[in-house]
Amino acid sequence: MNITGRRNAMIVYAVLMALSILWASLILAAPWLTAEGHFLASAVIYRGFSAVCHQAPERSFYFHGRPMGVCSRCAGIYAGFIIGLLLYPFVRDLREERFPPRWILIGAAVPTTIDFAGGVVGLFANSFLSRALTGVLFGAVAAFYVTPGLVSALKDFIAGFAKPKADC
Amino acid sequence: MNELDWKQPALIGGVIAGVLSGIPGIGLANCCFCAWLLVGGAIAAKMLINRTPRPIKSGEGAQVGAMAGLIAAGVYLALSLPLIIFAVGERFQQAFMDQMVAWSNNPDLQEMMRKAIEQSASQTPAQRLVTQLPVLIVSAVLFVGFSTLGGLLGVALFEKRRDQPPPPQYPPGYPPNYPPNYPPQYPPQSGGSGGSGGSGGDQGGWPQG
Repeated sequence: MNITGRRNAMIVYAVLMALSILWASLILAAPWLTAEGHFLASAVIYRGFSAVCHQAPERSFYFHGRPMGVCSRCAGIYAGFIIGLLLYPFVRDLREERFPPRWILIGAAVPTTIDFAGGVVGLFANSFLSRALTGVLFGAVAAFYVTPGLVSALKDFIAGFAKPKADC
Repeated sequence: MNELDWKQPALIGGVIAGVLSGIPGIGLANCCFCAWLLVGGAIAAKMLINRTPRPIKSGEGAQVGAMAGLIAAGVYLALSLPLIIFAVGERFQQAFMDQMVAWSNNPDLQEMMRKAIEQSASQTPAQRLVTQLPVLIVSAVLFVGFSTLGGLLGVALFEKRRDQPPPPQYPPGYPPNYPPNYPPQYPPQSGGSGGSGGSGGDQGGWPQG
């Protein structure tokens, strides 16, 4: 099995978990800061998230009476990613560098794709629940691909990714 | 990753993602989970897979995706700065500020926001640039993150050689020119390509495809 050092894997896992929790906290912080009157900080966070999400209020969960930093589907993906990270050590070895079979990733993307496409084409109206649940599924599965990739990347980086070629 | 030819995949993936993200209108696709960045990272990973004889590791996909994201961020900044300075897309910003006012239930806050909107309308290009710079920097950081994700997912989706055994490793000190008569030297062909720019026959070696 292609595995790396446990310490490096733990570092990657801890950093990824910390960043994911920080990201989710910012999603919640945007409406909370608006409600508390910290408008400038809230506006910066909302504008930052506008780079990755449409933020339509009618498609967003509300927190403290204001829409969250991202829409319900994105919020579901990020929440699912944290859930996936929490489950990861119980399902796979943290040191594992190889991805799970690709059909799992494709299969996890199918429900959210159908939910999105059905809404766009007009076949059916997706709901908060369908957007969030399909997002959670995709996010949770994505964590099982991101973690081994970053573990492998750190291993390569430590092994001298940045070193110039000797024959150049 | 040193032995990999990752520069061209990262450059192409990054330029594609950066240009598509920077064009007003088309760049709105990034509202769907940074779609152009995921596509750019995946393109870079796919190109790296195509030009590498051995299976690409997941970490190498992340690295080429991150490189593509850095390039995309640079291209995006280069495209966005003139648009901001010359106030292209000002209406979008105005609509966003109006939306923020509508969300607020506090009359004092609404009054403050209206003043901010009036001030932003009368800003000079330099002031506009200073106001927008933090948002651009945050966007650039997000670009690297999402493009890395695209590179990872690109390897997960497109690398089909993972279960193949690795190529044989030659022991240290193995003669580099073994076998001795490889590649075969063909005798010069009469009436070949002729010109100085010709390739193949008159130089020996394999004919160029």
